[in-house]
Amino acid sequence: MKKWLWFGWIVVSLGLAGYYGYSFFQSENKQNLLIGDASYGHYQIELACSACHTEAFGGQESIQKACVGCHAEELEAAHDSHPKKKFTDPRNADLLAVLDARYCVSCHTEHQQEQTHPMGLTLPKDYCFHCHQDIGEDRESHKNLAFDSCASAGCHNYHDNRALYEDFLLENHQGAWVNALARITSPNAAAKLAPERIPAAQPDFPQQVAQHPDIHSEWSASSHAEAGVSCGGCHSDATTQAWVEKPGIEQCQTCHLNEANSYKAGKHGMRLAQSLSAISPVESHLPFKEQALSQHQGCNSCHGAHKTDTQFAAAQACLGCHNDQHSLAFETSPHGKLLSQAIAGVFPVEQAVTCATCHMPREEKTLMGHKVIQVNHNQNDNLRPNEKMIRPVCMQCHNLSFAIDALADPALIDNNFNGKPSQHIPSIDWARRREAK
Amino acid sequence: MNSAIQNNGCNTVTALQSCTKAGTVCGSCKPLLQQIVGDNSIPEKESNATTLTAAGLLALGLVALIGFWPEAQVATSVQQVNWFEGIWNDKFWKQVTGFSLLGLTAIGLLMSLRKRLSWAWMGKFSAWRLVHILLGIACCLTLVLHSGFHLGANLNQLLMINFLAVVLLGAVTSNAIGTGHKLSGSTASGSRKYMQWLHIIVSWPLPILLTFHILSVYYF
Repeated sequence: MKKWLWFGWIVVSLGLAGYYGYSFFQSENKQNLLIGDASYGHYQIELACSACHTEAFGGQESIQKACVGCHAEELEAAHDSHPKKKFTDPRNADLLAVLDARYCVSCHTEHQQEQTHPMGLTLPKDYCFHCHQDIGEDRESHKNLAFDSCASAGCHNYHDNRALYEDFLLENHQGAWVNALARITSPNAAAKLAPERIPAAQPDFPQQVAQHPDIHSEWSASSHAEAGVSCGGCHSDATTQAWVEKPGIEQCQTCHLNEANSYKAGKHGMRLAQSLSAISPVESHLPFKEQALSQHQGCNSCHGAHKTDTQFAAAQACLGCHNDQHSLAFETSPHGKLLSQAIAGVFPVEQAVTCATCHMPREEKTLMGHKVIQVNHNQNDNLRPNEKMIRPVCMQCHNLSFAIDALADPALIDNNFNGKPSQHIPSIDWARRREAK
Repeated sequence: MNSAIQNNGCNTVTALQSCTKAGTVCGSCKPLLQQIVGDNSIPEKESNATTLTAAGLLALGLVALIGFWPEAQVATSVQQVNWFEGIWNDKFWKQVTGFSLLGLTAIGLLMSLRKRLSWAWMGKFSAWRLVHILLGIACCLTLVLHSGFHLGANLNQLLMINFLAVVLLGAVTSNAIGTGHKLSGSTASGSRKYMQWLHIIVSWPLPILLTFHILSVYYF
């Protein structure tokens, strides 16, 4: 009897060890080892463990490398107000003892959803208190302000203060709340860069062309036809040259590399960057239209397969899936009405504001020796916190004061800016008063 | 046993114990020995019976508390973080409490060595049993500090449930031993044996789950 019991224990132990050993060292799917759901920013790739846990037993340093690997560029672009070097300065050693801000995970711990605030923050919202508790002594205007309001009232952000720092506020305190004739520059990067990446030889697929005359005629009027991209340009595998029935991002990025890269850095494509299947709205936390729930995100979700209509991609495509209050209010909002008028030909499309104008903004860049205006396909690049949107987007048409007030008003964001901000953020007034002194 | 009674005249429990060494380690067979020698007196109280019963009840209460007490919440202000959050939600103290749990469990298992290898030099078995049970209670308290009443997810949740089940069955076993003298010989011995085995069998997955739990913390 006792021998059998020992045998039973060994069998159970070996079985369990085998199961978890396989999950640890072999299986791609490590769901059974997850200690909790990942934050809203990372839940899509929570099963691509090695994206963040780059080395086995790598500890905090290896995780930090992964954070920096994906986010260093945007932090640099944002002139990060709290870079690592600020905390490695020996003069700040006492502050480090309170909060080790050299590591991202000190404030953004993952897999702790019950402790996670917006922006993936896992500290109480008044974390500024740790180092700035005597701010009221330096600045009269800040006396008695609640510490949980520093970064939540449209005044400061921990990392990105490009539109909020004092000198910028002073330089931009003037101007009407909206410019009468705002014109947004048209993108041209795809047109300028893609032709240089078109493969010299594209396979012919005469049989398929003959089978689909309607598709062929749709394609003939497209910018792909104009640039000399034939059926084989997209419908073929780069190495085998074999026919690909449904081309995906692998084919698109042959020519549209920069667009694909920014797409893969955002919520729409981040799973593809980790070689996971494309995200479906059903897996997201946002509200989506019933009919869109099971669709997989890809380039073709917004850009028609054979008809390249960027106007459709800029608004109608988004509204085909997104079903939150902000999206639903777009068509009746001042921005949405501008778009309807532009489509009706009342004024040029450059004066219209679409979803993409704000969420996939056009940026000036120098790429492959060309000065281009490129659409940033990372819809998250100027969100979270939304003040990131002020300089590159809002201020193309509005003044700084209105933009700060509007983006700090959740009700106004919900109704898609249909009205005026309900409260005024006094940061510009305070900065001017301080300068006057 | 029969030969000891017939040939050597061992017709009392004490005599039978000295002839055969039966029931001299954990004493769980004593009621059976009483039956064999035809002793109808009320079984003797186990040493520390009252402490065993009280400790068993305390452990039961602690298991229920850990299982059903609402999860500790983090403070909404950095100015209000209390000492408890500073332990269960802190990476350094998590390791301290975690390895303390491992240590307490390992020391508790020494009782098994004393029993199975009959190492008399280790001292009285009954003392080790008491230590085992008190360590079980200490484990529950350390577990509260380690987890903050969070039951975890996936592997961690499985480990937590398994650990609580082991403590729960240990607590019931402790009660069965502590109150055994109030039951008839065969009922006392049967319930005690049954609970002990359940306690042991449910602890089977624990070493592997614990190994992978610790491994996962440092691996990822």
